[in-house]
This record gives sequence, structure tokens and C-alpha cells, in this order.
Amino acid sequence: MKNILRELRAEKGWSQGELAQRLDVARQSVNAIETGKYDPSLPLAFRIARLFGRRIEEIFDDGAA
Amino acid sequence: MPGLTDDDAQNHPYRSLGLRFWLPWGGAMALAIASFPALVYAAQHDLEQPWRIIVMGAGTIAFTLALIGLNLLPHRTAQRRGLMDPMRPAMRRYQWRFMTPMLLYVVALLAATYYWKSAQPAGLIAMAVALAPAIPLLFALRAMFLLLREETDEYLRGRMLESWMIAALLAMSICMVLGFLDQFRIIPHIPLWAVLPIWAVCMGPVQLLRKDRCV
Repeated sequence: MKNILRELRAEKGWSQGELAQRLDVARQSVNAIETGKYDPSLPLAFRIARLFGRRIEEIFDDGAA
Repeated sequence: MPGLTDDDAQNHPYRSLGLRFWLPWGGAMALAIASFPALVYAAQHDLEQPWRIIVMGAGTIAFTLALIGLNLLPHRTAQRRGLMDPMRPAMRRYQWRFMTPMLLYVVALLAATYYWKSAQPAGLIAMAVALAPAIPLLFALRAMFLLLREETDEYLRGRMLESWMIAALLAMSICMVLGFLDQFRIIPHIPLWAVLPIWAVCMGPVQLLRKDRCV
């Protein structure tokens, strides 16, 4: 699944580690999500969306639309 | 997390360790693999005492030390060189919970083997002596169960489960093949407890071959 997490993180000027801390996950998880190696669970996707004040579908794109 | 950057080294900490790390690490892996047949050999052949206990003891200690090396060394070295994030709390607890029983296991195995040979116990005492090495190992397995429960990061937990499962499938395959060879007397009898060290040794290549390994 594609996502714009890296762009959103860059807008805030956060490192992967800083974003991981805010989401209460490991830095490797942020990296895996950004690089599309891992699709987060629904609860984590909601946490990411809330942190950036966006809707889930604005951040993640499953290519179906 | 101050000091962390998104550089390539941190996203590929194991690759960044380089050959100067991986060559000695390979030596530890070879030691683990070599010590296991030594243990089986000692178990199968009636070596004269004290040679049997020396071979069993040395083999077990070598295997345990190699296992410690395999599990800890890449992580610790990458962390020391600033290539990897600090250890997560669940993993830190796991290492204590795992390593303590493993060291107790070595002591229990040596003590039980020596007592068995010298006192030749029977009945309930014999059963207690036979189970003495198994009990610390059960605690080591409990540590793994607790790590799965306590690791809050879904990605790391999933990766860990996957690695353990692939190693378990490899270990089951090896044990199944060895079991049939054993049943038809092609090879000497292999004790059932061997499944655990075989699984542990399988974890090495599984971790090494994973492109996105993280635990």
C-alpha cells in the first residue's frame, strides 16, 4: 500500500525516531511503513491519521480508487 | 529519541556491520553447529568417565556460548556503533529472562549427568534428575512467550513471530527427516530434546537471510 507518511513527516521536520516516539512504536516500524514493506493495523493507521490531522485515506492509498 | 537519523546505516544496521564483524560471527555459528554433533556423539557412545562428562560439558557450554553470541552480538555491536536504536524494554527483559535459565541449564545438565553416573538413582529421584536440565529450558521458552506478549510494537512482534515460525518449520523438517532415518536405523538414535537446539541453530540462517530483519 502506498502512503505519504515520509512527506508528512518531512513537513513536520521529524526524524523517523521522533515520529516513532510520538506513535509509541519502534523506529523500524516507521521505516517499514514509509517504504511500503509493512501495512499498519487499523488502530495504528488511526493513530497516524490523528497525529497528522488527516483522514486515513488521505495518507494511505490501496490503489483501488 | 535524540541522535537518531534516517540514514542508510541505521535502516540496514546488520549490513553496515561489515565483514570484520560477520566473519567472527560466522565462527560462532560454526561453533554452534559443530558442538551439537559432539553432544550427540557423546550421548551415543559410551565414553569412559571422566571423558564423557568432559565432552558433554564442553559441548554444552560451547553450544550455549555460541547461542549467546548468535543472539546478542549483532544487536549489541550495532547498538554500540550507533547503527541501531536502543533496545526496547520488552527485549531487555527477555534477554535477562532467557539468558539466566540458559546458564542454569548448563549447570543443571552437568550436575545431573555427573550425579546420574556416580549415584545411579532410581524411581522419583531418577525422574527429578532427568528433569533438572529441562526445567530451566522451560523457563527460557516462557521468556519467549512473555516477549511475544509484552512487545507492544505490532511490526516487530509480527516479524519476530514470522522468524520463529520459519525456524520452527525448518527444525520440524530436519527432525522429521532425522526421525525416519533413525527409525530405519540408518543413523544413531537422536533424543527428542534435540528439537530445541536444532530450532535455535535454524534461527541463525533465518535471521541472516531475511532482508528486512529487525529482531
